[in-house]
Amino acid sequence: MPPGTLAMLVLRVLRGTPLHGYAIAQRIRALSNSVLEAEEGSLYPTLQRMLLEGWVTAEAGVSETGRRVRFYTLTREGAKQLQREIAAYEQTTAAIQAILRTA
Amino acid sequence: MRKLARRLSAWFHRDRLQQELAEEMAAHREMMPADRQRHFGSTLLLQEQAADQWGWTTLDQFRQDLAYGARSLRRAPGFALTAIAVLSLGIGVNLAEIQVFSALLHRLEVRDPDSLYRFYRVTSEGAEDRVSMPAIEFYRRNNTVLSAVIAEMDVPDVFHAQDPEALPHCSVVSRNYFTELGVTAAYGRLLDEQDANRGSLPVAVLGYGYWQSRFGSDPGIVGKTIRLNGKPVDVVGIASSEFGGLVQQPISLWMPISQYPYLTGDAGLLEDYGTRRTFLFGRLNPGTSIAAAEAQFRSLTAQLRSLEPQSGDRNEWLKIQPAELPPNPKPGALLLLGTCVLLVLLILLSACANLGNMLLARGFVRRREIEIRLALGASRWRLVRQLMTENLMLAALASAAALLLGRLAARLLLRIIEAPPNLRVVTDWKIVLACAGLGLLATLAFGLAPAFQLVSQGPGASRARKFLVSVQVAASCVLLILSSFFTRAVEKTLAADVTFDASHMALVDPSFYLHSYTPAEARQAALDVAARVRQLPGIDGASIATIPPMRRSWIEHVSAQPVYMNEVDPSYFPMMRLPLLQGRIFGLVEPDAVVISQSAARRLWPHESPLGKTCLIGQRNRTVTGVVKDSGINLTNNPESVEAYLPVEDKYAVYATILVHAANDPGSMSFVVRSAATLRGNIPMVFTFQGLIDRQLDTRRKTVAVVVSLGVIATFLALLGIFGLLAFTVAQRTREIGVRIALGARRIDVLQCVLGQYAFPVGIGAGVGVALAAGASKVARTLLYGFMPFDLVSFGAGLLLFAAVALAASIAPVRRALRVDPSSALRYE
Repeated sequence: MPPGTLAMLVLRVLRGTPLHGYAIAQRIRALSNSVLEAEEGSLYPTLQRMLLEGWVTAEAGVSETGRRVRFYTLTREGAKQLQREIAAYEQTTAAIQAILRTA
Repeated sequence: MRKLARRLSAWFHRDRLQQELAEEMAAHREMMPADRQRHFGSTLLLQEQAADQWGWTTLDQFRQDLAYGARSLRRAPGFALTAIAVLSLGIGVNLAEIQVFSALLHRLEVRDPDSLYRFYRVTSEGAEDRVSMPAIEFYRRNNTVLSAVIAEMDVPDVFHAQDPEALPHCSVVSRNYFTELGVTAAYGRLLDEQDANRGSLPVAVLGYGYWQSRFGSDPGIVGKTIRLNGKPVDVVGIASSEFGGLVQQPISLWMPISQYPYLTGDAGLLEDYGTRRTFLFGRLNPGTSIAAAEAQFRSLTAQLRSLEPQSGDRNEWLKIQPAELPPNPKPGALLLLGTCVLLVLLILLSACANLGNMLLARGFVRRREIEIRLALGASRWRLVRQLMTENLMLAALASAAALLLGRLAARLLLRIIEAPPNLRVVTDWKIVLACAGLGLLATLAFGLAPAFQLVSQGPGASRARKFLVSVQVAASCVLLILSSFFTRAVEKTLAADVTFDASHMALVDPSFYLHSYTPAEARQAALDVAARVRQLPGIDGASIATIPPMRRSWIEHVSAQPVYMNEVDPSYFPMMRLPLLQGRIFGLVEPDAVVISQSAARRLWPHESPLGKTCLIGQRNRTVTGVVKDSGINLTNNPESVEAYLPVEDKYAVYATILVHAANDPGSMSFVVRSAATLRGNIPMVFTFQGLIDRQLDTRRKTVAVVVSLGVIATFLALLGIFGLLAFTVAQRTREIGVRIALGARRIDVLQCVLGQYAFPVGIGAGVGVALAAGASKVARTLLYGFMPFDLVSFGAGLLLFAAVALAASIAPVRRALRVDPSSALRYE
């Protein structure tokens, strides 16, 4: 996974519905056809940072297996951040592709 | 900002958050396929990484440092207490100074001070701040730019029947004065509209301070009748303590302007356009600019002049300025202020140097601890941070103590200078901020160098110590020298040869210039009064002088020499015990004669006889007829009595006063003298000279009290500093001393080797201190004592005092060093 994109992906999968940590990792894996893996070692620090920035909020809940977990919800601030990151990402990829095509 | 709030709230709930995170990760692991569960990293490491994200590590370390610092301070209570005492003293004096100055520059305590403006009359001769009463009435009736016109006039020389010596500061005010200014009454009521009507009973409102000092804070005075200038006046209330008056503060009592004729017997003032004695204030209508108001007042002034030609000059106009001007101090006052600020900062500096030295000494003791921590892998930066946290804690404790100390000191100071009660010490957020700022600054000043020193363990520690000793010595020397300088200055004043018989003399001041006398009338009135007083039983002399001793002075330049002038009648000389040395005294009618003093003769015509010489004084050539002994009256300001006496002339006769010599205590004769001296509508003031002298010396005693108390603090700090330093040096080198003595060194050599290293820094410090003190005393001399010469003795005394302090501080350490027993010293540590 390219560095710095994990936060964007997490924000994106949270856009529809609140999810807990494992579900976020699962969703990223499923949607990318098992190409991208959200490593636990980076997922949890990223989630902490997003909480600190105020992009997501966490609420206590119970997982499908009956364990106490936190469900992360996208905030308005988080949605804005997602827009910004997608825009920046698309600009970068377009630029990279332009180079790849012509060079 | 919200991020910070989130960070903080997370910190408070950190246990819960960490717990949740752990559970969450455990659930995550459970849900993972069994083969991948092993890949899940260390939960503990992940938790720590998460904590890093929230910034808990730094906070944790800070908390640890605080706890550690608190523990190490608790373990050394002696050090902690001394350090806090020294630093709080240093910060406290600075806070006290700030509080006193802010009390002195306090805002006018009136309603809406921003819309209040003051009017100045600008004529071809310059701006002045007084306007005539009828003109104010004219402006009040005809202007459209002011919502209120407020007038206040001070009435000098009003006396209260029970104590003729202490004059109350009386002021008469317009009818709207108190209501418009929003002043409240502490007791009773204030002056209202009815009081100002013609024919109302004469009433007065007392100022809070006057009520406290004169009537012992007795509310029962409200409703009573007091006698002012011998006339009954009803007290209706006491003004609140915050309000001291608009123009001169503090005012002792206010009366309606309409009572002025009743109070003084002078009916003309309220109608006379030519007598300009009243201060004019106004509230500008909202939205009106100063320029527009000035324009309207310009046309009103022109209009008034066409009606009453004597009301003013052609080009006269009124300048409007905010009533509460930002203080615009004179350069002299700024210099004095700067000197004060420097002196108290010097104390803080001395305290910081002191504390820095203590920390260095303590660092020596803690060397082992620091080495162990470094060996265990603590980073140097982390150690410095830890030491600085400890220092910050010291400073915080000291600042808290300083806040209390400063408040106490400021109150004490205001009491020493007998400040009016509307000046009060306010500990507001600004003071707290200043306190915190000073604490922080001090922490950096005293703590940073020792902390680095300690961590780097270099040989520079002893050099730093020597430098700090120099700083302390310099600061103490400055303050000690200045204290002795001021003390001596006052002693000289006390010892100033008062050649005349001050204890039996009194002064009658009819203040003719305030009662619209013409010079010729004043001259005749003065002669009459003198003649009448001379007839009184118990009075054995009366003479006239325009410049009464101890009250004012008047300097003219004669052949480029400053000369103290006076106009007197011939009987002045015997009364003032000024024997004639050469020539003769002028007669009663001899306008071109002048009598000079010995010093003046020496100054003006050295090596020549002054008799018959002429000189230009007051645009007239005068012939010297005689030489008298120096009076010494101006000695407090001038080492020489360069004086000249003219006969009383018409020009200055309105300033004439009558000097009275009584056979017994003149205080008991005040009443008799006053009634004998009473003229139409003018009851003169009577002062005893002893009272005048005491009052004049009092101010100087107060200055000395303040400077000396600073000197005492500085001395105390120096004592502590030198003692600490020497005691530490001896303790540190006990072993070495023991070895030296065991090897046969003489005790005196040992002393020299151990303590001699400080001779040089002390010498440097003393040199710097003397130089600084010379500068400061120069400032003080020009500002406070006129021509006082450079006083070597006070420098010597200051240095001697410092040497005594240093000696006293070193006695205990030196004894200890001398008593070192070689055998036990070798086992020392």
